[in-house]
Amino acid sequence: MNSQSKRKAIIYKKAVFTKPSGATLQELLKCALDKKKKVVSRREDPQGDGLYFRLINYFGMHGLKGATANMLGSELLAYEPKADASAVEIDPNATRLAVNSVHPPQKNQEFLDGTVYFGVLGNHLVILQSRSLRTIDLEHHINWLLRNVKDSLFDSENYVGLSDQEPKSKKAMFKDVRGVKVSGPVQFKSASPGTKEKTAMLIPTGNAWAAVKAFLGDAVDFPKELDADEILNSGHLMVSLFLKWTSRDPEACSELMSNIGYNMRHIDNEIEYSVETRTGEIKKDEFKLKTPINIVWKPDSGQPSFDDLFPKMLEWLDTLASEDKIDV
Amino acid sequence: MRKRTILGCLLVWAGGFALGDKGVVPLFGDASWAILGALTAAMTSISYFQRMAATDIAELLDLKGLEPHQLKTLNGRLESRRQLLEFRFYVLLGVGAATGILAAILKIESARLFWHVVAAMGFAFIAVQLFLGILILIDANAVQRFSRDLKTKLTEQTAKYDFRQKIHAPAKGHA
Repeated sequence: MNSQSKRKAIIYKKAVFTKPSGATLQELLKCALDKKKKVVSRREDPQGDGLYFRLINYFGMHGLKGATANMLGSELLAYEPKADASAVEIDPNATRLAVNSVHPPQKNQEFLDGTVYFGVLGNHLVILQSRSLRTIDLEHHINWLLRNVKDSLFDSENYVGLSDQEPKSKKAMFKDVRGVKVSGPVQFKSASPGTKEKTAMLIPTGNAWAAVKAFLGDAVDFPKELDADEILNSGHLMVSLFLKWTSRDPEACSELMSNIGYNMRHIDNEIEYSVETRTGEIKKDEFKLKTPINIVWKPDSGQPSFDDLFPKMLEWLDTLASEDKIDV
Repeated sequence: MRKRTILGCLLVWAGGFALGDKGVVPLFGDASWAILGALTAAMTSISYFQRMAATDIAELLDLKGLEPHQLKTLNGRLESRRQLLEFRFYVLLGVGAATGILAAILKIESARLFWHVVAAMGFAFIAVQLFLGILILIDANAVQRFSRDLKTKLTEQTAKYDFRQKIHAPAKGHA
């Protein structure tokens, strides 16, 4: 069967440690994976109920053609044991399509829940994520893996976050930060049955609400429930928050931008945020470095060709460095 | 900034000249022409130093294409210039102070008009030296600031160079 090319988006993240030990993420990961040779030893049960597993299936060193293999290329996959997949029969004449359950062809096989392919060079990561397995899953798994290695430099108090890169091209604007604007829709769920209030109450929820609460922490006493009468007729209710920044210290402003890149690292489409400066606005997309690439896909395994994917990740890293878009 | 400086200098000179002409402070009147000449020279110096600084800024803004060794050369140039400027400042300060002391002694010791003129020239010289010295010191600080920025750039560029070298390092057998 011939290989085919697929167009996918790869994203950039940088590893930020809460307790830097001097070792890079690449060194720590390579060491951990070398110690856990067998797949079963590096299989994580994140929910603790045996119904969902994550593991790094493949890892190996990759490089540009003719160059030293310096990048650690890996494949993270997730699966649910004994789970079936559903298939739909496409019939153009049908009024309703038939849905069937499909079982794995062999007993010791499982359907994959999602895969993430990632290359690590030092503390730089280039990631190809799937819809069901995201960067946040990769971050959790890496932390679990590094903590579960004997004699590791990564102790239980340490945490590695896969942060976004603050836009270096707009560094000149960093010193004039006025504030951060966070906005997004708020969803509501009914208050739990059994509450005896006469007025119907709704509990604000959703990513935007959670983000605003996380931003402000305990400084603001947020309402736990809202009166339904006040908001039911309001249509699309949005939460919008402007955090005013008063410091003129360039270092503090620069640190703020790094913090935004770190704290908003797992926000993709749920909410919008932007940094307002005296000379313009820095939008969310400018914190998210990504690029589309064509990847050779192996139809027999349903995986990308690693000899094609990881060198392309390296090429992009090289481009990012040469264009001064990342801190190296 | 330069316009205000020139205006300020001219006002000082005009004030000195007026005071000297009215006989309030005869010394200022004698010295004012000398001060004017020296101020012109100082302005030329400012332009010269500013042009030098502008060249450095232009180079700093175009560091993307520079290799680390070129950055080191540039940094070395800035550092030596800063030292030279500081040296000039201290020499000027020393000469100015010595002249001032000499002029003061001459003025006290003698009542002759000739020595009064010499003393006036001496005081004018002090003023000019101090003025030039301050300008040079300001410029030295500016150069020091550029130098500090350059060191940061140098660190970044070296890291970038090493990073890209790591990606492109030829494999064994391909070198």
